[in-house]
Amino acid sequence: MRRLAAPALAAALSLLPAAARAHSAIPGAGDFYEGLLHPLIVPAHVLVLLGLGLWLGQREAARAQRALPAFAVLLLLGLALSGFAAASEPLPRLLGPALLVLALAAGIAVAAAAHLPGLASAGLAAASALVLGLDSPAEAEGLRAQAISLAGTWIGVHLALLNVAGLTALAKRRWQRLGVRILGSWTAASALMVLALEFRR
Amino acid sequence: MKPCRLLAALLIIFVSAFASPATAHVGDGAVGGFVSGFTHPLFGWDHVVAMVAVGLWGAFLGAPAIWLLPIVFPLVMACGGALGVLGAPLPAVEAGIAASAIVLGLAVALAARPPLWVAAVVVGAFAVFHGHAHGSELPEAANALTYAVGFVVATGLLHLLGIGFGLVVRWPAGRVAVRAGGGGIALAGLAFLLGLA
Repeated sequence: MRRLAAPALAAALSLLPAAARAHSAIPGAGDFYEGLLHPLIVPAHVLVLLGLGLWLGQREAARAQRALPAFAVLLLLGLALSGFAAASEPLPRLLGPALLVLALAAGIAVAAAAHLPGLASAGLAAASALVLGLDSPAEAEGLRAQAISLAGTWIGVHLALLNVAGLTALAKRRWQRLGVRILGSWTAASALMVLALEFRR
Repeated sequence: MKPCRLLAALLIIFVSAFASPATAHVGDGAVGGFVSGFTHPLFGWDHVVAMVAVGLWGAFLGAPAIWLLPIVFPLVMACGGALGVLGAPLPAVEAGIAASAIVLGLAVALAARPPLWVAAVVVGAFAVFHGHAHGSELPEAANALTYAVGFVVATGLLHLLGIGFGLVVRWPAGRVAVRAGGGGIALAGLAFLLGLA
């Protein structure tokens, strides 16, 4: 499966156009490292990954087992299309609100410690992955550099998500599980207010 | 978990939250937004005392209120914040915040234990006022999202501080201390309302 994944990733990334826009460059960082850090320097991405990671880790491994494959594939797809998304109208303007809606949904689900069907978890993960991918175009110049950068982003997003989910899964005691729900509430509250700002604009 | 260990943990979380903005090196005003959002509730004493009073009252109300509070309050506050962001008018916001300190302080001082829904309505109504006051300034922030995160986290930590302090009500002397704290908060609220502070 992994042997298949690498060529598939290369093929998918080769579809990217050269021009791309990103949130901010990191001076001195190589293409791969810049891609790796990308999910951590965009606040909305951090919020989505926090909300989704809390959600996946909140209910043992069963929830994550279904959602993570969907997440991995859709993130790949989103990253592969990110160059096109950045160049199109009005998609880039819609991605910001979409990220906030996803963070709000995940945050509320975590705060409520909701019991949702597995399909809903997989759907939330897949939608988050697609939007995160589309909103993470490579900053680098040239096809090879862009592919390296996007590979870094793919790995960085997974590292962030799995860390949050893994740490959340360790929360077994009552007060720890309560802390997880509080973090979900904070995530949803933050997303809701900025979503209102997006509507105002 | 023993109260003293919980208090120590809360203190560490509170202090570390102060330290985090200085270590980051990101652009787009993200750090500035977070700092202004985080400090906004902390620099307004009317907000501080009211939020601590919410946590203290939770200690008197007991389970499940004490645990529902830090989960539900931020969400209700965010609804008020969204109204503020959208420019929806809310009359006498500052007076409402001062009144929240008086009412919540008195509730703590009197060790009031109304039905859960009454407490939820009272706290929820004040949450909207507090959220509106913070939310009105959100559009001017260097980074709206990190501002929102900052002020939600700061408010949540103030609740936890109140809850942590409130846990000492299990001891007779602690009960007196918490009720006295509530009285002080009510007096402070009165001073804010009258423009004396």
